[in-house]
Amino acid sequence: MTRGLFRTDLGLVDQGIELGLDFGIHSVVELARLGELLLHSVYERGSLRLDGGQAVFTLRNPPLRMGAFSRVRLFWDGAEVPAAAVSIAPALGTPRALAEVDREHPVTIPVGERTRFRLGPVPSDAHRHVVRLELQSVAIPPTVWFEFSDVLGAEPGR
Amino acid sequence: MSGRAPAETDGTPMPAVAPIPPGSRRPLLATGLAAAAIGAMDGGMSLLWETRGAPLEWGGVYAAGVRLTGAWNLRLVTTRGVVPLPVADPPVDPSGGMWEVVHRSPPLTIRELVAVSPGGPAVGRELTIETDGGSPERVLVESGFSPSLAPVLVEGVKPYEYEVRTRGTTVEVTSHGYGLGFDARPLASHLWLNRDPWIGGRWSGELSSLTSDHELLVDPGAPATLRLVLWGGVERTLRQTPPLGVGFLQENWRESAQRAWSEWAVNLPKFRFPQAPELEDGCALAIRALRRLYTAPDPTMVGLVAGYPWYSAIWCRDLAWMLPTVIWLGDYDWAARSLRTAFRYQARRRVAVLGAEEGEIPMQVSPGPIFLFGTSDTTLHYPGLVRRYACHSGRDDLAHELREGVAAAIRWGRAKTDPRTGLLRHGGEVAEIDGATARIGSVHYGFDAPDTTIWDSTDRRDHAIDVQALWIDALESAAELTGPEAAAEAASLRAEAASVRGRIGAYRWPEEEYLFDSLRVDGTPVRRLRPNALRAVSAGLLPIEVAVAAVRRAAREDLTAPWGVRTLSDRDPGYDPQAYHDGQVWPIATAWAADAALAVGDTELGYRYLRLLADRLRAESGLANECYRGDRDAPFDSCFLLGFSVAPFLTVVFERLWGLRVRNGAGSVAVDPRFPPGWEHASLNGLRVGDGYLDLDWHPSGLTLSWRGPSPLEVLGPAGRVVLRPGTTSDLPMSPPGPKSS
Repeated sequence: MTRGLFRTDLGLVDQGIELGLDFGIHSVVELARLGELLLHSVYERGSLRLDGGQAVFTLRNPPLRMGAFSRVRLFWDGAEVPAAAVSIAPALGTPRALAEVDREHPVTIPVGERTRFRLGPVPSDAHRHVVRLELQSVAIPPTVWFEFSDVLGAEPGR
Repeated sequence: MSGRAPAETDGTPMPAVAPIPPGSRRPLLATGLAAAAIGAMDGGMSLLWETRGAPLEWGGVYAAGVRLTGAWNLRLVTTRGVVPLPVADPPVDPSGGMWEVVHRSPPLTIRELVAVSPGGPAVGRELTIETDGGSPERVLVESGFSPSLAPVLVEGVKPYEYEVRTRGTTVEVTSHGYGLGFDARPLASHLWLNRDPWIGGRWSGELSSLTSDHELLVDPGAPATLRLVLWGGVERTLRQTPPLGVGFLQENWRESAQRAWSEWAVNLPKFRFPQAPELEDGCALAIRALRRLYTAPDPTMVGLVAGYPWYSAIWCRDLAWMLPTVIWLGDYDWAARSLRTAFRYQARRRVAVLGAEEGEIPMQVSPGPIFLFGTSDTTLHYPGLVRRYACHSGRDDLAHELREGVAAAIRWGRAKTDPRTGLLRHGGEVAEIDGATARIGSVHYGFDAPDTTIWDSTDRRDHAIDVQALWIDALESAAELTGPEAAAEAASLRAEAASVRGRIGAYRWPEEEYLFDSLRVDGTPVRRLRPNALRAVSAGLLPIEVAVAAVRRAAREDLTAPWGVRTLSDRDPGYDPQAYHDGQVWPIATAWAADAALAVGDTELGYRYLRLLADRLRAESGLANECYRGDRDAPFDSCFLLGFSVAPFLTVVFERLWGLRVRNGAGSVAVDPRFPPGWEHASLNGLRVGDGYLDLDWHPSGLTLSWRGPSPLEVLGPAGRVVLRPGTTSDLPMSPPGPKSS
């Protein structure tokens, strides 16, 4: 009864040959295409950058789960960022600290719209960082996690 | 092309997501075999529907496993202003393939038909506009939608960059290999992309809306007609010749959509319950709802989608719950094609990245083809479905054809059988998938689950009771399907089934007079009170006194709410009234309870559950929600139509209320009705058995049977048997219903 994709590296399927042999080349092409869609449709590539000394990034879609989330945790290079230091701002909404998000006051990441995350001061180095989000749906366990790595872009105008 | 701006710059914005108008909560659904249109009772093709706790827009066009658009709004631009099409009369849906609505904006009357192509991936809208004014009216109809082009199996993700091009009179939009075509007659006078004028050609970028307007001159006494059509799916199928949607521009599909439904309905069995007209209505609505789910986006992919709006793909578990009903309805051809589809995508070998083991039936199948694996139970349904098909239809060709697939499904189950416990064990799969993919890509995501139980209705790890019941059925069915040349294998399968049966006693939970939900590998019981255990009652795995006690325990108010059966007792520490698996009320769980109650002879209780389900169907105008809150009678996180909210209900009516069972390759039917006390009459006409049709007319004193078939049919009742020759009628005595061994 529960649905969802449990993995999205389908675009990089290294078992495609076997699939192609068993089910035809179209199945490999379409699975790869699906993977590509998933890889490119959530995190807006290049959006991780510094802004006023804080790191910001943008999601274009919710990761795996749609709907309302009662809890969102964010990890920066493996360390959890305090919920009070992270804000989330849907395109049509006002920013909210993740600390304000709970079951009675859930947050929604809209489908197909920009949602900007802003987190407190981070080292302003231009290295590749790993950002992980963990989101708890109000309706369906378990937690959904989403992880991307990107190079932290410089402040605008620099 | 003139410089007219789309209407939002006239001061009345047209958002991509329309605000929800009062009274629009009832969805409208029209479906064909490869497309669907979703709208609301306000007559528009927009539906804001609560989804996982938040309102999301689900209106628009779906085709070939792809959501083509978001809400598709039409507006009227007249000399008096710009208005959405105002509804004058409530929409009617004379068949499942269309709806009709009348709009009035004096002096104009607009009759709108929304029709889904009966077979193709296309949806058309026809506006017939007339005026009762004294002079001609120049009318502009504005069409606007946001493209989606996301496969329906991907939850909550849509592309944001698109390519747009004009090809002849068609506007094509593509993204990530998916595409839609849009065309109209009269042609668009203007086009806008993101509300900026566009003269056609090629364009690419972020696209939030595609708007067009269409000019008509309406003379008094001479209605004008506008036809708009959208089609699409996988991009490579977009550019057929002639284009897929063009047919609608020439012929509005009204007749063909109605014909598709009426031809299907002509041979359906007809229930009559004079003492329970509500149940009779519920059955008719459920049959109609089931037909809406039929899908065949291509000739090799046939079945029923799980539901609408967000599960509109073939989910093989859901399909497995629907196929028994399809068989009871006599649609053997659809059942056979559906079974072939499921087995076509059975894993031939281990595919770790997809979580597939050799012999496994996929959870999802979608055009492309795309298929995904990983459930505790889906595969286990299919040997029994093949057996059931052979029994009902009297045809053994499919069983022969799928013999290796059935054997592979059994090997899959054997490989999962734990030698320590002798029970089928589920769990651990996701770790293998993670291991297969951990080093690739810069983006990862998934569920924080140790295995693929995310696909399951509840935590089915280790030795869940209902999974064991399915495993026993799979083994026994495979034994039955084994030919005489493999008697040793059949004996082995039966012995394995008997061995698992012999272990079911370990699930007894004396304190609750119920069954444990699962056993861990070390034998530790999982003390959670769920309706899943009732599947062991229905399967006849328990002594009658234990089965009766379990049925009565499940009927207590912690598990059974006045509006249906919860997925978990509200006394469980993990109970949450809005948790999908851990407290919500599910119609399928209610059907399981009805099945179990009738199986142990508790007719009144079983009937009460059935009435709940029938009343739901009537209250929801023939749709059937997926689930409701556990603490109040309100849908939550619920598809507005789900196949397993209707099909198991119907199967219980056939198999338990009527007590029907087809045996021996359609040569024999057993019937043992369990009608409530006080009933004086019930009938079932046109029940397909093999190549014939059986009419049953029941009174408390007996059953009158009429048989139209090519060869004799044996009918077994609780107090005797008759053999009906073709074209004959005979009586069969009945004994009063009483407690029966489960």
